[in-house]
Amino acid sequence: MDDLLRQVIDVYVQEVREQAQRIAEALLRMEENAATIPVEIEELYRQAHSLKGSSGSLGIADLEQLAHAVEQVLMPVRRANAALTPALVDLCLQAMAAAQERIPGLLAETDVGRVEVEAAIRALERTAQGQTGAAAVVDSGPMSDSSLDVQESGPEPASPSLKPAEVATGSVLAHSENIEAVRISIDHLRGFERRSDEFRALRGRLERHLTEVSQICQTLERVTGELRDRGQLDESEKQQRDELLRVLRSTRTLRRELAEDTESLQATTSEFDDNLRTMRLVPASFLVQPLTLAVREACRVTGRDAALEIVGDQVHIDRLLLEEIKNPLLHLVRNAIDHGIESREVREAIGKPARGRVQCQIEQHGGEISLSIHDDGRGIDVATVRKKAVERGLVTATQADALSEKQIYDLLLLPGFSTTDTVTTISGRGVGLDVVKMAVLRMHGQLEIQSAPGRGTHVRITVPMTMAASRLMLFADRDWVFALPQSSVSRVALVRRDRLISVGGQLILRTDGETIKVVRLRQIIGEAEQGMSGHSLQAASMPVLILRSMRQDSGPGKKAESMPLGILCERTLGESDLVLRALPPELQGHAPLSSVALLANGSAVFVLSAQALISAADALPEQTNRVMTRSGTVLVADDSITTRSLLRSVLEVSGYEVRTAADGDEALRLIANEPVSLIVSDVRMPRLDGLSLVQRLRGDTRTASIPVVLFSSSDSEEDRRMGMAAGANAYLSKGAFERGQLIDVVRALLRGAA
Amino acid sequence: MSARDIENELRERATRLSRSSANKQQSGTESFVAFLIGKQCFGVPLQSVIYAGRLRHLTPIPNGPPYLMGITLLAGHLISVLDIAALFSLRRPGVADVNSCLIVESGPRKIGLAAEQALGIEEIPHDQISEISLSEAAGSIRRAAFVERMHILLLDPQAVLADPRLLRGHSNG
Repeated sequence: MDDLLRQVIDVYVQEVREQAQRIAEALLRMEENAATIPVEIEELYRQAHSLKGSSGSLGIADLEQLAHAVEQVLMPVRRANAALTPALVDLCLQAMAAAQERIPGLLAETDVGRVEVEAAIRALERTAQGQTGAAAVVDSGPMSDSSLDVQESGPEPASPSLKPAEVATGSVLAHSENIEAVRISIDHLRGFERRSDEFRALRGRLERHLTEVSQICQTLERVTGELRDRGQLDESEKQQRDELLRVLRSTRTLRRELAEDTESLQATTSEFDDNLRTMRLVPASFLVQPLTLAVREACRVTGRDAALEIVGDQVHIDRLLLEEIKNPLLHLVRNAIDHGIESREVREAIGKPARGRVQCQIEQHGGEISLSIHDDGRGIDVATVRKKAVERGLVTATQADALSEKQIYDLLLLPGFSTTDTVTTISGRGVGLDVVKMAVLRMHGQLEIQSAPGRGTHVRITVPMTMAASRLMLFADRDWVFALPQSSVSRVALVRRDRLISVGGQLILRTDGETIKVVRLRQIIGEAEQGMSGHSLQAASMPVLILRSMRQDSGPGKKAESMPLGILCERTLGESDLVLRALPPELQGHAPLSSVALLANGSAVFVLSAQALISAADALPEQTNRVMTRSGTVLVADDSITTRSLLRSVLEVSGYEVRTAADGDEALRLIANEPVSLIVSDVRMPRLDGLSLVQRLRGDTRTASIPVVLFSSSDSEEDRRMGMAAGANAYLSKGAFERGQLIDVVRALLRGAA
Repeated sequence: MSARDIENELRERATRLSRSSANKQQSGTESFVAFLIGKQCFGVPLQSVIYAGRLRHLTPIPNGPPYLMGITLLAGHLISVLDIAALFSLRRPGVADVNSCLIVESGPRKIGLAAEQALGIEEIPHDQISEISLSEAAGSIRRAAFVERMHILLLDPQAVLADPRLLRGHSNG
């Protein structure tokens, strides 16, 4: 085993385990439910392609061929030309089992598992030949052209670096010990992060409890002070005062202890987070070895000659980011060799140095890391990309001619798009650049391609420096809080209503000599479907988040550059460094959501993708810019989040502005600060229940006339009688809830109150 | 009590517990966590439940499907909260006061099941579990049980999570 391989083998075998497992799981899910095939097969292909790439870069030919053979045998299923039969699933599962069985052999540098892998490859190839009728393992689908040369695809000789039986079997143990001594698995690191999130949420809750206990103390101090000021007290009142003083003392003790615990938890969590941050930072030099191996392997397979130069490998990068960025970079250097660097003969003939050059440059700019792969090869052949896009039906010939250079490059990022007619173990299957793009988007980064014919291609990835926390701009629309990466907001303008003008149904803002297209956030996040079409602009001035000009992720026929976009919202909540998490699997691809940020109190806010907002704004139908007249403000008080959300949705659709509170106490605080027209309240709530809320409202001249609808799951005659006796104007049952009935009652009460 | 006594006591307890577990297996029972949502009772295998607790925060999903109520951070896990009754079109009229959540896992995936009320753990004998066939929307529910006059629909987390509507890219609408 050579030095490079020895240094990365531990990481590699972990990847093999994970990739084999994910492929097996995807197969089982597809077999269980055929409807999932279109989604799962793409994931399976990505895993297989990564397995192929990492095996190839380390010279582990048998696993590289195994992954290649799995891709081949499943190609008809991917193209929906064949069913996924149980026999095919069994075959692929056996192949993945063989890959796992090979791991001990790789660690010990023996032939253990090699026979099983080779048998699996033969079985897969036989089946693939049976499917296509072809003699060679070559893609025969629309991506290839039978008139063109077919490059290598047969079994590679065993890697010379893996010499059988040279190392004693005991080295497996030595490896294991080494792993435990020096490595912290990514899973463990993520586990620490989860704990950190939970600590932060717990701290938020403790701080809230401390505030509540302090308020109780103040109330008790006020009441006992009033009793003291009264002077003469009878015996019974003295006993009550003494009892109150005892409660006050206990509450003060509780407040002090709670404050100490909160402080202690704050210190512990800060130290924990600092340690976690330190654990996460590693030098970018960790990338040198895998990139070097990838270039070496790509040159071996393609017969090209290129040197890799790495600049900036001492920059420190978040370890999770490094894990995420590694495979995209490996894809890019392999692409640079396979598609960019010319053969020695061609290079000499056109006056270039015989040896090609691939440069990987890592730089830090403020809170961002940029990673660039630059090659001095032939560059991207724009005409070929156009031709392939037309052949694949992505665009018409006319549209193809109109595509800008940037749009041409974006075509290369589409899943399955490939300009090469040959399928090799390095590239040509169209899996690669889309994987790079997806990975970059997951990291909230941007990808930029530049190319000059004959001079080479430059791919630049820019990502936030850490995946642990990101600088975000928080903003709110009604009760909904959202975030945007600070880097994607150029500025926030507080705009008076009369500064927004309607041009052809589109709101326009002219500011600082710039014309900005403005859309309301609600239009994009789907509220229009619930009756909020048009713009409801009640406040005299509202903030507009002006998104940083960026080139669009354009599809065919779209303009490359568009008017800057402003997002109109109710209020901004400032900037904050927040921990980011990936969207749960059920929501991935749910535009315009890109990730989730966790607030200090443990709640989650969606981070929006500026790019997706721009695309969504472009897709909005032109709407009449009408100002919707609101019918009044309704306060919904209920301790159930779902009931609050449901009632808010029902009332807003009917034209009411809605405020919400989680209990009677919160409702009273809200009413003290903002006038409301009507209250819909649950009966059973913590702190202050619905009946007490109504009584408190009726006892205060400022709120006595506000209509109250009690809305409860307790719907016996006795419950109703008590509700009405407390002063409610109506009593509705949750169990028999009907939207129309609620709205009728609300309208009637508001008419009566007017 | 000496260290040896403590050790013996612990050993005896361990033996009793293991016998108890073996007896349950022999008598053929399955453990489910029962919960209410949409006025319907569901059971989810105990071994697939990794956490059950109060739903403190819920962030609704903009333009999300009705069966995904939102996302939440619970016990360090950032999860989608699923209204299983809505997913399977089994919801009865009225409003559900959801305040609890069960986190269930199947393989690498986890999801939260919204609950109006967690009813506790039910040891259900095999002979009380019957095969059922519901509507197409609820096709992945294949078993049910009657326990103390309560009809419990038994969920298979693997089948639930394999529902195409819960696969990535399918949640828009």
